[in-house]
Amino acid sequence: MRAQDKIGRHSQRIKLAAYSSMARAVGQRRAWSRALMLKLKLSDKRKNRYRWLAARKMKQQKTLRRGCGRILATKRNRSEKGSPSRSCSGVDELRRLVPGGEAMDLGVLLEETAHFVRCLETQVRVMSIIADCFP
Amino acid sequence: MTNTCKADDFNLYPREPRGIFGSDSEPDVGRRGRFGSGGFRAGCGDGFGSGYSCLVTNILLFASTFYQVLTLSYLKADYINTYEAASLINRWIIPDFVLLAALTLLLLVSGHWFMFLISVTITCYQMPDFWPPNRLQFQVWRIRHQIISPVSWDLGSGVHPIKVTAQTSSPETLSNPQRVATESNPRGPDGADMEAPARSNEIALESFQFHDEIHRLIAPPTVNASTFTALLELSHSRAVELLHLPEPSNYSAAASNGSLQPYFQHLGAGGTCFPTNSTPVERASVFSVETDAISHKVKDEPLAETTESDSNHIISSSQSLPSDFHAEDKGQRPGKRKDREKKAKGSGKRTKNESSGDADELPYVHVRARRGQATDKHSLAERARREKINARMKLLQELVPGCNKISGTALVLDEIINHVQTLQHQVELLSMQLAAATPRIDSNFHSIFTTERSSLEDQNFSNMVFPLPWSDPQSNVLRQYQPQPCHLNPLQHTVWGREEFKHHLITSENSHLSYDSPTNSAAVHSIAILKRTES
Repeated sequence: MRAQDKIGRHSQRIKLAAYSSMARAVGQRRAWSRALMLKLKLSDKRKNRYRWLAARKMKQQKTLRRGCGRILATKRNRSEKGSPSRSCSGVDELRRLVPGGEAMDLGVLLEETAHFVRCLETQVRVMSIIADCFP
Repeated sequence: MTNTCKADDFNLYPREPRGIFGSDSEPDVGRRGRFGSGGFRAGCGDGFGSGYSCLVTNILLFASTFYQVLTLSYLKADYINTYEAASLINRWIIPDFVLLAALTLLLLVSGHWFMFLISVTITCYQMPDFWPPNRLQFQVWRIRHQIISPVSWDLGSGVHPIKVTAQTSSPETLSNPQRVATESNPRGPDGADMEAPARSNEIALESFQFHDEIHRLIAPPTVNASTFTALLELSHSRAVELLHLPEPSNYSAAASNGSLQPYFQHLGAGGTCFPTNSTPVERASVFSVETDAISHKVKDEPLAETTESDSNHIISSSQSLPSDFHAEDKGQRPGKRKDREKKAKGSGKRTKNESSGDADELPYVHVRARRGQATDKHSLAERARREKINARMKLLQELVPGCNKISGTALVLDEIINHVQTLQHQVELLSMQLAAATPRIDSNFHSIFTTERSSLEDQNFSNMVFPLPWSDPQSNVLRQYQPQPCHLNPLQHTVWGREEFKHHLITSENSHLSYDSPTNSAAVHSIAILKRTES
């Protein structure tokens, strides 16, 4: 059980490190990287101490971003309700996958997805190179 | 088998008081009791001792077998992954064998010859797993992975995800998809050397090749303005930097050519290479250049705010671009102007100006409806938005392999979602592999990567946290290169220059070979490759 816990925790940490390094490499330029860094920072704080504080902060951030997103969405999509049923589920799923995707417009979401996909591919390559070093 | 033995034992000595045996309450019990009693007198001299110990041993064996089967059923149901399953089961292999041997001895002592023979057979069956000290046998399964040519640097072929093949020697296979289809171009001469050198001796060579490998990933960016995606990645500072580099002549020349060439983006921007010529890309490039013309003028927007606007402030290009492309601007679709104007409205909150003046210099304005279409404000806005979304979808279609043939937004979206999920699973799989490969973790490993360091992004140099494989397991070395003062990191930070890095790597390799981290002697392997410049 201890070995399993160790490996599980270790792999979790490596995964967190991978995502964090990927987000930090992009920096503040992208919405998804900002959202990812914020999420990691808040979850890190939550793990260590003051869970309630971190949870509250995260909820505040989420409502803030969602509010901004909603305001802007209503500003822009005044006339557009084009085919919500067709692309609704896919877009929702995409919003779940891309960090920070809940508060994004569709155009912004697609662009962030493109950048996110490229960064993910690069991350996979880098990690595979590292894993190649070990037998 | 053990169950029947246990049943036998239980029937044999139901509730007899100690020291009294051979009671003929039941004929078969009596017979066995007499038989067993002889053995007892010869052995323990105690009626219940070996019987109950047999019972206890059997119960324990049964429990461990049940636990292993439960673990495998968890694995099948995807509650745990194969590494966890293997470690759980591995923990019980030796106790199992010990218990079985104890049971054999007890049966021998207590004189149950038939059961003794059976358990001896089973023990001898399991013996070859243990007697030749071959540790490989202890593992439930092994994964051998071959990673072939992680990237194809041939610039004409687009993005190739890595091909990972995992061969397992047990029927259990990972639930995650492990095969990513690709074709792999042959690696350079360094690639073959990656597996060749002996790990114990040629650490410098390995690290050098590793550096080489990473360096090939971070190729110098040859940014070309004529692709949409290139323009996506250019930030203002980067564009300015490009102006000052000796490259801008190529840059503007290529831009003026208008020829689509594949390019390398920087790793920090998600370095991949993109497929060449395609008409939607060309159209998108022109489209994006027009937007650049605007975003360039609205550059005074604070770059930090994002939720409000599109990535307008990110799409900015050098000064030379708009002049090159304005000539083509006149003949383009006027619908783009509306979109331009919309972008400006989004970012700058300027009022919409409906005059049809000179469209080229002013950032906002200039709605011009096409023939036969409604000139309604809302429909124009909607059309512009839809065009923008279509352009982005085309970009995504280029990015995700195999998406070009699919038509229909929903299917393309599904494909994109599938691709993202695949990539995330690949990251998780690789992290599990790395976790299994490395011996221990550092307690402060987590804090290194998750604490927010804003200075890191602002600074205009790159640093590399570099995993250097250890030469032998005994010397656990922690090597990190970070600019910030970290309590784990007294080493110097390196700027990412090719020659200097190589030099740093090899020399510091020698000098820090016996370095132990202050916290513990665990080896931390992580890599965080940051951007070379602010890009």
